[in-house]
Amino acid sequence: MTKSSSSSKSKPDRETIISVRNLRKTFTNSAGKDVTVLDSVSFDVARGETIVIMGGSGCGKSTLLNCLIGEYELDLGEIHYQTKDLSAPKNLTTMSPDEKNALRKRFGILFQSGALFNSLTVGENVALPLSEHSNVSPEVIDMIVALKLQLVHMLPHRDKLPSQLSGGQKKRAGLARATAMDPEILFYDEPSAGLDPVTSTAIDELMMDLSKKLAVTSIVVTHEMDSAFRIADRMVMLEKGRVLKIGTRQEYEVLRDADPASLTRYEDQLMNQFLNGYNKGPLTNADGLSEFEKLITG
Amino acid sequence: MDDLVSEVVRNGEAIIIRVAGEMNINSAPNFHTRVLEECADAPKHVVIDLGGLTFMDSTGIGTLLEIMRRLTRAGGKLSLVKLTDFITNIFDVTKMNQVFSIYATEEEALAA
Repeated sequence: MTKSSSSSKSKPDRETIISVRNLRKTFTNSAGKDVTVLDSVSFDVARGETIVIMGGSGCGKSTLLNCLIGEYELDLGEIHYQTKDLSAPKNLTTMSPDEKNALRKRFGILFQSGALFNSLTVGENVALPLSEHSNVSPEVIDMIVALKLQLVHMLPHRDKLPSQLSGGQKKRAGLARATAMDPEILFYDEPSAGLDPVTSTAIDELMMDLSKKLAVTSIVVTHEMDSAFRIADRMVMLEKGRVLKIGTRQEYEVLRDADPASLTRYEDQLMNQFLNGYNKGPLTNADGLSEFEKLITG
Repeated sequence: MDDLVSEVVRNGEAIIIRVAGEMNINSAPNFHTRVLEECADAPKHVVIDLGGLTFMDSTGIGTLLEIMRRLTRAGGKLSLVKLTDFITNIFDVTKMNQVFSIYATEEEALAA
């Protein structure tokens, strides 16, 4: 029988840069009913680690990302940041707008589509954060842009418009822009979405390379399991807005590779199904598929 | 405003600029302006002593690259000396160790 703990390694050994405690986020649906998307979410992120937040569609992972970057107000809970410019951890939820803006300058965010401005060249896109948020001269910005594009192997495409780029090239250009201000924390929203497997692997390797080279902390939201197992130091599994498990990649590998029949805990069966992409298991039972199958098979 | 330049020494056609502190997005613009002022008479060789630097970000690297480009276009050259372990590591990962002329001491740079 495979042993798995739902709370092991919930606290990393290294210095904590983000601490999420009892986070709850509720939205009001079109019928005027409150729907809780995230509830009792707690975990820590260590400085320099890559943590993957995963789960099925609608589990709340993108909402969690938006809460972490301060895009959504929380209904309950706290998110403490300990970036290098702060002498003590500071709660995002009680920060003034100026403090929040200062914190966000320590972030780099790679959006799903790359989110490049279509009317600007790749070089101009990368230059934008620097020209908007610093007093650095255009000549120096020009050099920084070259440096950032070279790190993601996009220097030859500097003068192209986004419409002239492939999906993978857009992601790489988005990554160069996300790192333009030397962020302490990089947030990735579905970095592999819409990419072919080879390009997806290349983006993963680039992310790992940048994490190592720039010593940044990376928070990656994804449901691409191959990618998650390539890049993660630790993984957080969400299900119906709650944390199901926080563990190291190795712990998740054990869970993934376990024989489903050997797992006795419901949560472990559920995660085993998700990690392997099986179409049978508690995830699909919960959706009523087995009942449907029983109905039509008599 | 941060002033990274701790000392400027003129040695024939060369200028030695010694810096100390953190070369970052706040201090690098002022450093850039100061170096351009010091180089107004188009010196043949500028040696920047980085021994007193405790930190450098991409703005710092971009600033040094821009100074090198400007000097090279004017027929001069830039040398960097006394790189700390921190700066050496940054230059290694960004491959800037292949771009800049780097020497252990000011004397070695001046003799090159």
